[in-house]
Amino acid sequence: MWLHTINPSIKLLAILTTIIVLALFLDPVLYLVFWIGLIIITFSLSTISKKTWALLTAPFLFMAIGYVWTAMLFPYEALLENEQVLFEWGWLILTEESLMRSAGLGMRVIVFSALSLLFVLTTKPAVFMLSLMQQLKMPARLAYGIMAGYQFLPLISEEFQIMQRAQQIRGVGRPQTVKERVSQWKSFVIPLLASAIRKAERTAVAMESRGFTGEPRTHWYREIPLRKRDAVFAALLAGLFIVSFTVSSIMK
Amino acid sequence: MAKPPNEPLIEFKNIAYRHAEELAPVLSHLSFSIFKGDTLLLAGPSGAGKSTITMLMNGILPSNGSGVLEGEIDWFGTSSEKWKSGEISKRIGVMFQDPESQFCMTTVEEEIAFGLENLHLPRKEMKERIHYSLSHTGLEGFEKRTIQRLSGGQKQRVALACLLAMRTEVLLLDEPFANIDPLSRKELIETLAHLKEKLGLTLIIIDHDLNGWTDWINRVLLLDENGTIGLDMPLEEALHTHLSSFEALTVSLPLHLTLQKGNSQLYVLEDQWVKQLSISERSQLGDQLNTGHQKKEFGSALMELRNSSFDAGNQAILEKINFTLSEGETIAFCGHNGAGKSTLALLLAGLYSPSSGDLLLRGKSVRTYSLQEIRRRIGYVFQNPEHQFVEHTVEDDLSFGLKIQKLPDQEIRERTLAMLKAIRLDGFQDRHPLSLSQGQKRRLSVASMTIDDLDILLLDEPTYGQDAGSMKNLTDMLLERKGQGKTTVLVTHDMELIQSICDRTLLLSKGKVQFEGTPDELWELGEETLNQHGLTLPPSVALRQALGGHKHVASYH
Repeated sequence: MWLHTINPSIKLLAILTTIIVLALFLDPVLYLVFWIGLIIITFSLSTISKKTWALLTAPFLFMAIGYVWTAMLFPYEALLENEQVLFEWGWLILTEESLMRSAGLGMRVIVFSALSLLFVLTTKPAVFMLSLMQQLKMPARLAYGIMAGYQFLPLISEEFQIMQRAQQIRGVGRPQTVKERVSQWKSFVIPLLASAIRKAERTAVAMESRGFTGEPRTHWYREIPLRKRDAVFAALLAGLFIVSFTVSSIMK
Repeated sequence: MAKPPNEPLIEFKNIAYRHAEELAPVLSHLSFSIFKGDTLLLAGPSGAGKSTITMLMNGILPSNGSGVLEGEIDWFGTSSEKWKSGEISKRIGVMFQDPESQFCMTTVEEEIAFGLENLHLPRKEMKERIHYSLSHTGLEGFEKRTIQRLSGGQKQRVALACLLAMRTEVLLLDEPFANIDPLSRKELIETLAHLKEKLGLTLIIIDHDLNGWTDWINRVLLLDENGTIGLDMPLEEALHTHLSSFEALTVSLPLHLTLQKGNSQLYVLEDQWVKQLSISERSQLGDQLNTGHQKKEFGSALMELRNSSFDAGNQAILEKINFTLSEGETIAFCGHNGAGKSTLALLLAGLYSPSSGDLLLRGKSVRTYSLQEIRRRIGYVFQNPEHQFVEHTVEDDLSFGLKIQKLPDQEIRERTLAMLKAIRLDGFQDRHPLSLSQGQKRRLSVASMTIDDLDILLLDEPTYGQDAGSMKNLTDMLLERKGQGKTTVLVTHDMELIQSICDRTLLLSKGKVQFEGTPDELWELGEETLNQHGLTLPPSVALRQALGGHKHVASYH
């Protein structure tokens, strides 16, 4: 789908720019409109599963609610003086401005998480690294190192599970308390690290033995192209921002 | 074989190498040449410096190590010092031992392309070469496959394809079969033989097993413990004159060579040897090889699986398995990778619970036993012994299980010391388990399980990556258990191990039991059926059939 085919470097730069620009505002209406637009873009132009997206958004949602809550309950006293009081109950004072501020903070978290997910869920790590080397001139040594490391991650988690089972068999009981769990993890760290280092060394030797010296490539087997659609994507985000900004201005 | 020697491709001139952190050199006074078209076997005990030689041969050392090199290495007639970094790897390629950690990309074609990009080839040529190398290694249609999901044998094929695509003239094979099953090994050796013939490659093979190689290796270079050359001569001559050196340096010989030990005339090729044997010699050998598995009656049922299935996620790994493990038997689970062998073993060990159906231990559901009770009866030795060590010294690790049982200190000490002697690790008690050699680690991991007097011991691929010596040791340990009337379950691809110690085999395929019977009955399924399940005939059975003993077996029914 369309979003998956956008050049990862452009996607990254466009999203980073959007995040910086959005951070200059603290406007819940703008954020809300932007967020709705972003969701429409995300789901109509990608194959991301709604379930995955919702699961990954959930923690950010809780974070946002927490933000709103604390900002509402414990505002800067100094700011409250000239503000419009909406609600007063004992020591709890809620002003219109503090409500907007906390809603803005909460929405900011949600919008940023939606932007990050848009990138993470539509970009393959290998393609991302290739694009970083091709468009942004990232050094080959670093990029291929990251890629090789990425291949290890599933191996390490698999090894962790095997170790858990192996220790269980030896009669090391399943950890019941948090303390036991921490001490079990501690006993796993050294062997896991040792095996990771060994694997990394072997891979480094294997890469070198195949003529890899870290010098830049002259030809790519897989070129990550720059196309019109990349500009369209950037324009889409910019357009969405302008719409959100306008809606928010009108509502004021 | 007596071709005039041409210009050497690789020449070691009085090489000595010492790792920075050690005083004694790994290699010393090493001089040899490798010529174009050579197929050389490089072997020797672990610690003899085989890996160091490999890395020196293709320039990984000394530039990437902190060791000290003396002497001179020449590549293609030019001193190694005059080669630019990375240049030599374009002509000398290496296939490594560990299939897991020699790749850096996700898919097969990207991985091959990685090497070609290092050669700065245009894209069109890369495409052609990828296609070429895949079709020569039997990997057509694998372009987009994810490497991590391939089997060990397939991964090694990918590694070979990577080298073929780079058109390296010399291939260094650094024990590439240590971690793969015997059928893949056999097939890979055939592929290599074919490629060598067709492309005129020079091969340097590091292996501790001569099985499958004898037909086309022309030279051997044996190293001794001190990293000096023990033997450097044509294979045939070496076998004729120094047969015992091979065993002394822990190289496994093919069965037909071991059987010829002490004969005045030695035949390197199995066919030739068999052809000249007299009828009486044949029948005598046939009897000698026939270990005669009789259907033995075993004691009561120790464990029973009733209609048990196991699912992982939505995938059924095991489907409705009915299986009884009898007291005192030694049984092997075999079949393809992913057939469900290990899952079945983990199920029996109580590490997994069946998704449906029941698992009985001595007639009672395992659920009625406490975890501790199960642990005291059932042990499991994992493929990689390193995963199982729980303590920081060999002695503590060995006695760990006894301490849990809160036995008196005196008894713990005595039993631990006795076991240390039995596994020849006395003197190592204060070492860290991870600092032991591969064979020692394996012995320790099995011993720390068996010291507990377990009723049932399960072992997952216990013979992977073991040399002849530690293999023998392991077999003895298992036979001793058998003698004591203990029950053992093996998950293995090692057909000779099955042949020599198992009473029964269970062949699994796609989560179902395909076959159940004695090893002899398994061999009668025929080579073709066995190959379909990733198995081979054990060498002794294959030889017996070649000797004409097959009829004898067939009349069994």
